Amino acid sequence: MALCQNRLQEERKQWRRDHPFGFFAKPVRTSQGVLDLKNWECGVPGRDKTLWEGGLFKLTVAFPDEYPTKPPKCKFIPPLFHPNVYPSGTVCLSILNEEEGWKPAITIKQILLGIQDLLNDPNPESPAQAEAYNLFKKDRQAYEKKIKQIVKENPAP
Amino acid sequence: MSDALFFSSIEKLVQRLYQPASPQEVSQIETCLQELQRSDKGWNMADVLLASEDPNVRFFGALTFTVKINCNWDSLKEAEVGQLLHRLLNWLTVRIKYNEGPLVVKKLCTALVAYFLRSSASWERCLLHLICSLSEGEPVNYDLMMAEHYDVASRVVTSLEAPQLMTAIWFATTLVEEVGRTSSESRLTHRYHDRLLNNLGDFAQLLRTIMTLPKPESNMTLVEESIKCLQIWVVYGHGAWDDRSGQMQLTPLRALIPYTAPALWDQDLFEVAADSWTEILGTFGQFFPPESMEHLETFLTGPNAQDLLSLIVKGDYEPDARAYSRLLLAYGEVKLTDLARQSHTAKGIILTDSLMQLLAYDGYAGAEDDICTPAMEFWQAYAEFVIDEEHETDDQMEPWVGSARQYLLRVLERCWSKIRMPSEDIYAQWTSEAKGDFKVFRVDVVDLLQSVYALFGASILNNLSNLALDALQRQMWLHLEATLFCLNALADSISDEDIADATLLTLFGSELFAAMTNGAIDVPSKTQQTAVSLIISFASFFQRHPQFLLSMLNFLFVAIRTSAVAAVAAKAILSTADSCRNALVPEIDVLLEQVHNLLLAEEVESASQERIFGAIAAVIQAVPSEEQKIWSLSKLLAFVERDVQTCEEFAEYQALAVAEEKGLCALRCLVSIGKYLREPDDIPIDLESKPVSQDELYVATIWTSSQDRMVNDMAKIAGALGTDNGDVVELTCQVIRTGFRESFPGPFVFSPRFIEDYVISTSLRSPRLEFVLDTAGAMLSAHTRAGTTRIDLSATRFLVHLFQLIAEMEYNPTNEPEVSSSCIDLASKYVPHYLHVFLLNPEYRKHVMDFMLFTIRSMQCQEIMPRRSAVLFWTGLFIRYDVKADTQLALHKILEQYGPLATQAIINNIGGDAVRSELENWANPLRQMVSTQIRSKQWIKDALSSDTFPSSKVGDAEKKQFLEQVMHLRGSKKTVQMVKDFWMACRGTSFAYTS
Repeated sequence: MALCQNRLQEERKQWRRDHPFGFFAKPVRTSQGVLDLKNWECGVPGRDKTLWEGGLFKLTVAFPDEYPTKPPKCKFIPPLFHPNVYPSGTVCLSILNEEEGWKPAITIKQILLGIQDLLNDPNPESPAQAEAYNLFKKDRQAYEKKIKQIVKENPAP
Repeated sequence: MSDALFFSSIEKLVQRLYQPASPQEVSQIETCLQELQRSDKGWNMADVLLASEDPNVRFFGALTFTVKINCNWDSLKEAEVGQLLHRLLNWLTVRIKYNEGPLVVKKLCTALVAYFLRSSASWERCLLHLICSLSEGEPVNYDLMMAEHYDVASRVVTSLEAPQLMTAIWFATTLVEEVGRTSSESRLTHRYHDRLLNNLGDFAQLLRTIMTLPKPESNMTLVEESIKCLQIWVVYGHGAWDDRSGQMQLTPLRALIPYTAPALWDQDLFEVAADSWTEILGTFGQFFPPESMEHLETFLTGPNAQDLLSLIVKGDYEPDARAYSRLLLAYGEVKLTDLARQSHTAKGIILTDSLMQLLAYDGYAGAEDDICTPAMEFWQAYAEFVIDEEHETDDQMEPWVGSARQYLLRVLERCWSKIRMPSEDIYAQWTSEAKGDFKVFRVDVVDLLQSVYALFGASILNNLSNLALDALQRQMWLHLEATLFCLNALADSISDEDIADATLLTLFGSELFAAMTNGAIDVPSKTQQTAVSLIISFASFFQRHPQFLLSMLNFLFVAIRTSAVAAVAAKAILSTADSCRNALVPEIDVLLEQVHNLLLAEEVESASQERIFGAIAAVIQAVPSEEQKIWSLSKLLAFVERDVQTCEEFAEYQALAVAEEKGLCALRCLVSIGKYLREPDDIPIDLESKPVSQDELYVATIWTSSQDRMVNDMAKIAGALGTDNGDVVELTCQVIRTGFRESFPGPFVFSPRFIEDYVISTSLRSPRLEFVLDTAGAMLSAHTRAGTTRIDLSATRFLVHLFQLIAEMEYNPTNEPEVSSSCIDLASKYVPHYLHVFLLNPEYRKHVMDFMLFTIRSMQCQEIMPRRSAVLFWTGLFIRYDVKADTQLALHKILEQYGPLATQAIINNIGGDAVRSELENWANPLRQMVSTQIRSKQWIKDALSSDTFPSSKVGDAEKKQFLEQVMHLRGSKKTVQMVKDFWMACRGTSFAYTS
């Protein structure tokens, strides 16, 4: 528990000192104004020169007590139309899976950059929702049109 | 060619490299020289080149030594290794005697460090050896030196001249840099850390000597380089030794830091010294020697620092001023706690004031001022510390808290000025980077405001509201924007509504909306935009105080006409109407009129139109009388039909892009209307008082005409844009689905017959067929809820359609994987409530059998979606249901017949065919079957021993053990882990994660 808190304090400090442009990540506040380090609100912008450019997609990152031994859970709010995002909004990404690519050394910055990469580079090997996956596979033009619409609905400020 | 001639031609070649030439020629010469360097003659070539008259050639000679050491070290015999060191030191001492320039000397130092990396064991005290050799003017014997002059560093160092001292510093710098670059593994195996540690005393002596030279001003470069060198040693030392052997080894390094303090007061050395201390504080803050910390505080509170600070306040960011700001912030970060606790002492005041002054420059954050952003970082941390301390000491306020809070208030005031937007002209001229940095600063201010709200509560709101009213009165729109922006930031932080409302009543009760609605005043779009965001953030306030709704909505309907504000204004209209629908019922005609005017002006985009129609629908939903509802909806539908008509007209003239835009817009508006006409989820259900007029049949009848209109509209759009338009199909499905959640008849509760007809009108060639099938499935699900009627007829018609589709696919799921998956998903919806439709009709027996085989084939195909759907289907079938006896019997028969084959498919996946991330899905049918199917043990046993079992890595014993465990666990959650272990064994232990 202490390890989790210390690590998250450090993550926060590092993020403040240096984070990629257009992203945001901060712990939520309780009604007393106290920071809840284990629940963060984050924003991932679409990468420039991709279909996702100009959009900002919000997600929550929830850290378990066992963090950093176990990975955090990243969830788009509201759920995002994307082949690797579950209908609940949870992101399916190997580095976020304890049994696959998660390593305790992975930072929040790396996670969010990983999610940004995933936006324009879906992994067809592990679909998480049928709707986006089917369109991505069957009708790329319609898929791209839909992404453009989603970007318009979620503009970066 | 003689050697002399050969080497002189190389010399000429090197010289040509430094003369103007084409890129091709340069590249050719380089390739040629590289080959020569690596040849057997390379070692000799280095010596010959170093003897040249030309410094460029000598540089190349020194470089050649490094290349040889790095690339051809193994070609050296043992005796030659010692000779090489002698040669290198010899060259170095000789060249220094001849006043060699820095390039060649540094390169020779690099060669010596390359030598150290190869042969550190025999040259541990490398720095002392170098210093002794420099002192003697020739290489001294290392072993002799080690035996006789162990502690001569002090004598030798003081006898060195400036060029020799500089050489030693260059060597010491390169040594640590290069060792720092080696991989941690090689650092460990070569014990570089320990060997560097053996040089630490010699380095300390060297540095002390230089920093105490009688006339530093005549050796400025030497002192500068020495300060940088110390920084590199400290940063390396912190990373390398700190965690291994504690602080002890760092002590000599820490003791050196005070020697560099005087440089802070030296104008020529300030920047280097300040940057070096900044770096050391940043990586090493807690270990900074107390003596140096005192020096630093003396400096930071002294006149020099105050002069630099006054430059920053003016925006004169010359290099020394920047270096000072970095140093001050590094100090602030390390001493934050002390600073806050001493914020009421004389020293604390000067230092904290200085940190405040970093925000004082009036320039725009990011675009003109890049010091305020790191300064904000400090203040955020400061605020958090004060909040934490206040939380921990509940009863008595410490004396310092008051002054710390005052500082935070002053910071807020500064921030309020600094987040003010520039005029639109100025903003347009900024680079995207400057715009981005400015936004980042504004976001940082939001963070700070949210933090300090915990300290100051409603008083901040009050101050901001007063500032807003003042700006409004003086029509200072950008001041107003900054204030509304701050208020917006606090929306989620407010916990006591009553206190907040008192302030907000004054603000929203003012001329705010009226002034911005007044067409005569040109309000910047950014101010409008922020005002709209404020409305969205404080939606609950307007719910509590509906008297402001109309003036607020009037403003929104004006704002929506400004293109930069339209999207957010439409969102605000929707969220207001959604949350205040009851209060707006009397205004429904006014709202319809507003929409009418807006559409006439043709100033609204499709996405905004969709939201506004949703907004009106939300209010219509709250209208108590059904007749009034019908009347209002009819008006709204008339607006939709304008687009339908335009769609048809343009389609007729083959202007398909416009036709599509209008048609899809109409469909989206219908979806939005349907969605917001639904009863909100959060209203209390009053079971007792059902109004008399709400007789289901009556209600269904009165909505018929609205419904017919919508069906007609959808048909017209499909007719104009074609049934092969995927978007039309998808949106039509969405319109249909909006009514599925309703428990009472309404305009969007379409008749089952209409939906059935729509579904079965599709074929394998229809675009987005998956949506259509999912809609059918959703309809079945909707009719399984308590209080709904079963729709056996629809289920039968869907089933026949499903059988036709898989027949069209020739029962091969890979032909149409997505459709296959949707077909199986639809079939899953029959379990258990429509199982009788699925199983009992003798007419379909053959089709059911084909379908069962199709699902088994799906579990074994290469396509991930049908596999996933099929395994879910089978998991569902294996569950025990409370269904009628005849259905039960039919299910039992079908499982008896297909259970073994399905089990085989499941076991083959668990035996290695599945991807790792899907294993939990594959464990599920297994967990079900062992507890419900009597013959499951035999099925699994047969599957494990079948010829088709995919793995040869597990033997009979493992398979038997797996079977026993699965049966023993009786479907418990532990089965999942066991399945994963077994899969791993089947794949082989060397398996690396693939997905």
